[in-house]
Amino acid sequence: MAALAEGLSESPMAPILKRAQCGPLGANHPNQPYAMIAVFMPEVRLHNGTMLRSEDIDHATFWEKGSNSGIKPVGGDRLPVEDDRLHILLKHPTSSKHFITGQDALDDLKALEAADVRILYRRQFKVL
Amino acid sequence: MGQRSVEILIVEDNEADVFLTYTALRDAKITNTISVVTNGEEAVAYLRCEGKYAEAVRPDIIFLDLNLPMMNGHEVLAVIKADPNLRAIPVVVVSGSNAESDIARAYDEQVAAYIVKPASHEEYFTAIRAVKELWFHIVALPAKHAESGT
Repeated sequence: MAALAEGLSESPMAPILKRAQCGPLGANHPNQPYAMIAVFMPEVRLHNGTMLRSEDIDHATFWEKGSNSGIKPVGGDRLPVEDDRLHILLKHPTSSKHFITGQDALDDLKALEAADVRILYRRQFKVL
Repeated sequence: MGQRSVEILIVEDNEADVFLTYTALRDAKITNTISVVTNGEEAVAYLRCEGKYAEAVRPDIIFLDLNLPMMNGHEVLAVIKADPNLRAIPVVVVSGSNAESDIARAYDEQVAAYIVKPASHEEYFTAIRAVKELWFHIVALPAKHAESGT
């Protein structure tokens, strides 16, 4: 394990491996496991530089531009979403201001998809 | 007030509205069971555990649309409030209507709150968060065994 960690010390997984080694089961611990499995939990870099660990994200919701917003003004029809928008729900939210719109939303959506974050999609209805 | 699991029933026929309400509830960190029925008759069957809803769990709170197929929201409310096993369940009406007649009639039917759908997602999420804060952290809800009359 140590050799593996050394070999990967320059890789993006190094901090994760270090975290895995910091657990309660040290080298001389009587319950030392036969092998330690390093679980790679990718980090998500948002358009504004914010780094989120995928394990800290509960899920995200994406409304495609033109999809049904679910908002119906009094006496009117339901409004389509005016621009692509993304909502990221953290497991421990610190702020309710987390809607992202436009190209930033699309960019962040790709980053979240790459990190296998659970995403609820609200797509525009297209006639085939 | 201590935390306990909360069963939520959404009665809404529009899929986009269901999606929005579900997402807003999740945003409000309400991670307990959320069930959805799409018309008034299904809502009544769910609440009475009839037919395919025989195993349904009695909800702690109901989010009800007024404009529903088969049986509208006012008719569903009348059934709920006439049934001694159901009338203690708080009902929050979430509607696109701000007609005085709808609001007055809903309160006459003893709804816990009437929310006129705001004009944006942000305001809608804020409203659902406020409902969550009130009903799950401040207000004491009836105990789970209330339906049996004990």
